[in-house]
Amino acid sequence: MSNSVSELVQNYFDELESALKLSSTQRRDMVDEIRGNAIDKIADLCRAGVPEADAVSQTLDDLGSPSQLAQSIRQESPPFHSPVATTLRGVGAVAAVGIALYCGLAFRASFYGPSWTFYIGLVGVFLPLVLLLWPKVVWRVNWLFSFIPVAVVFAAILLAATLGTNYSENLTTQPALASNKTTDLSTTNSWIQLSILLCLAALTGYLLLMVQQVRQRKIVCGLTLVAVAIIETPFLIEEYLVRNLVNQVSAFQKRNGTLPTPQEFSRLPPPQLLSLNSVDYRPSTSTSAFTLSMDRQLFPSHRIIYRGPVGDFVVTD
Amino acid sequence: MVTTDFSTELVRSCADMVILTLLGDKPMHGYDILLSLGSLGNGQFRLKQGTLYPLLYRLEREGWISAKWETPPQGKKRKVYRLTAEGKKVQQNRALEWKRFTASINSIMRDIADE
Repeated sequence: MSNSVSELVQNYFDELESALKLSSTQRRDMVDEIRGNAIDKIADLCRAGVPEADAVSQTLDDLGSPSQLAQSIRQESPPFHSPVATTLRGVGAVAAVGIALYCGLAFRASFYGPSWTFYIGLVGVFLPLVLLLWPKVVWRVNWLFSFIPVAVVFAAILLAATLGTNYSENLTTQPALASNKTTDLSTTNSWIQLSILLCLAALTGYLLLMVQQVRQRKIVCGLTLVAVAIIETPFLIEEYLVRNLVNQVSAFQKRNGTLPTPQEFSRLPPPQLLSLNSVDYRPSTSTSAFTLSMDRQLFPSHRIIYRGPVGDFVVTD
Repeated sequence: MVTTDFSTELVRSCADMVILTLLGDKPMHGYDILLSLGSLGNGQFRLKQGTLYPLLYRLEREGWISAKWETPPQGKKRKVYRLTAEGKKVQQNRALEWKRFTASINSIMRDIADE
């Protein structure tokens, strides 16, 4: 290639590289590929008898101007994909998963029994964040089309939560009003909660549909189920064991006609994984009911209580 | 006026399927794809290089093709594209859709011509 022609090609690719505005690795990769193919085409045209200058001009014309080509390529490249941004997004996604697990465990410790609304809320809040942060997710249309609905739904939820708080504050500061509006308040709160849950569920569904690759969608759904299992399993086991203990006390009562004394209780066969020393058993002296309570094993700040007179389980902190 | 080139919109709408079909046959690098397009069919379906690369990057991003730099025993280092399993499914669906589509359009045109 003559010097002037070589310079022309060099200038074109220098201009393309600077116009790409992607990470240096991505830029280098793309420019190397396009340059290599362009040089092959120029060589083929020259072999076919086309003068070198014409071959170069024809090849570069075919590529379009560097700025046009760079713009077309940029449109196909997801945003925030520089190496630093990718690392930060990866770290952010992992942190979001960690926070989701911790929050899930902490909130799950505060109530008894599985709750699908809790998991819709938890998944609906954290899954969009993780999906948007995780740099490897390939979006069906454009990252922005996924980001905007997430931002809108989260803003709407914040607004709904704020409205709910103001409404409750007004009612608590005006007791007269509160007494008349108790039913309204509970209905309003239920509606706010329900609409928030529906928004989160719809957002999660939308984002999953926007994930382009079926394999990625399956991985996301699979990992979400694993996370739910990680959160739910220890509590389900613990609650099963406590229920089992209550059943043992009831069986003793049925057999002997009286509740076991604390000494007799301590001699009951202990359910596996549960130490009877951690259980506070209180038989009632006046009625045939008993209460039984124990600290949550994962979150000792919370306590499961079996309320014999009512016959239900509650969790207090 | 009769032109030898197809309209940009028409080419763009079929380009995904054509590229996926080509790569379904064998892995190729970018220039190889352009050469194949020139030699296959009647050579009328042409893509500009400036159109090809963004298209390849999009197909790669969608997970339908994968790219890898390879150095053949004789020759220079090339970025070679191949069809993925998901891309193969997409290509098969698009090919079926295309056959139904062209059959439908041809049928409409025949019916109109017969009237």
